[in-house]
Amino acid sequence: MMKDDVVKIDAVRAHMRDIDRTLLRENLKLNFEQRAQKHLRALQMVEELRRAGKKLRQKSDGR
Amino acid sequence: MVVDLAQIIPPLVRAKVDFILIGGMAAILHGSARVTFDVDLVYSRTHENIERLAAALAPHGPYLRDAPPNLPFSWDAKTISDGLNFTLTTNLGDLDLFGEVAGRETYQDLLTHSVEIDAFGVRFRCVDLPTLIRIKEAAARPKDREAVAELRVLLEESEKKQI
Repeated sequence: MMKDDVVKIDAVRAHMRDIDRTLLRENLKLNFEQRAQKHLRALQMVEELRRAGKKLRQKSDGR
Repeated sequence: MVVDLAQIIPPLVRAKVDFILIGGMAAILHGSARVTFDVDLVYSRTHENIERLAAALAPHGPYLRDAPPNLPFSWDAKTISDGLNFTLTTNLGDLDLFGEVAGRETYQDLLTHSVEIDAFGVRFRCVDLPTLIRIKEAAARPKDREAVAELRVLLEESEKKQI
């Protein structure tokens, strides 16, 4: 194994310690459609926040 | 535009397009808690499948993402045959089509590393979790490290669930 590979594996392992397993366990209780629907709701919320942020920036720019 | 798997997958299945779901949306179906903004598919490069893919997507206005408007781009079987991987915007959301993924793996290569999913009123193929991890690792993008870490944890949790 190359030194770079070891560094990458260590980086992934470091990230693994920070993963919230409770979120994943909840997702694993859902069926495929429910997982997709949950993601869609999260995506819609992100889009809504983006729109709100854009509006706010336009307002503060005086546009 | 928010991409919805329930809108994008059924038309492709009904048009008998051979594809495998990969990337972030495959991760979602495996239980990921991350948000992803596009759909990634590996498609079969057979002539017949390319014809079906071209016809199935044509009504949804596919166009090269981030390309200037009015490029001489036409979505048809010749365009797909002449190219390989496409990052598209469509009226169903952003869609990335791959003839090959990192490591030069094709639809045929990934077929035995995929699982059948019943959802959205259709049955389609999704890459299995160990292979999804392998593809993301092969891409070797620093931004994927957190995603790979989450997928590895998901694999551990899924295996625990099966015991």
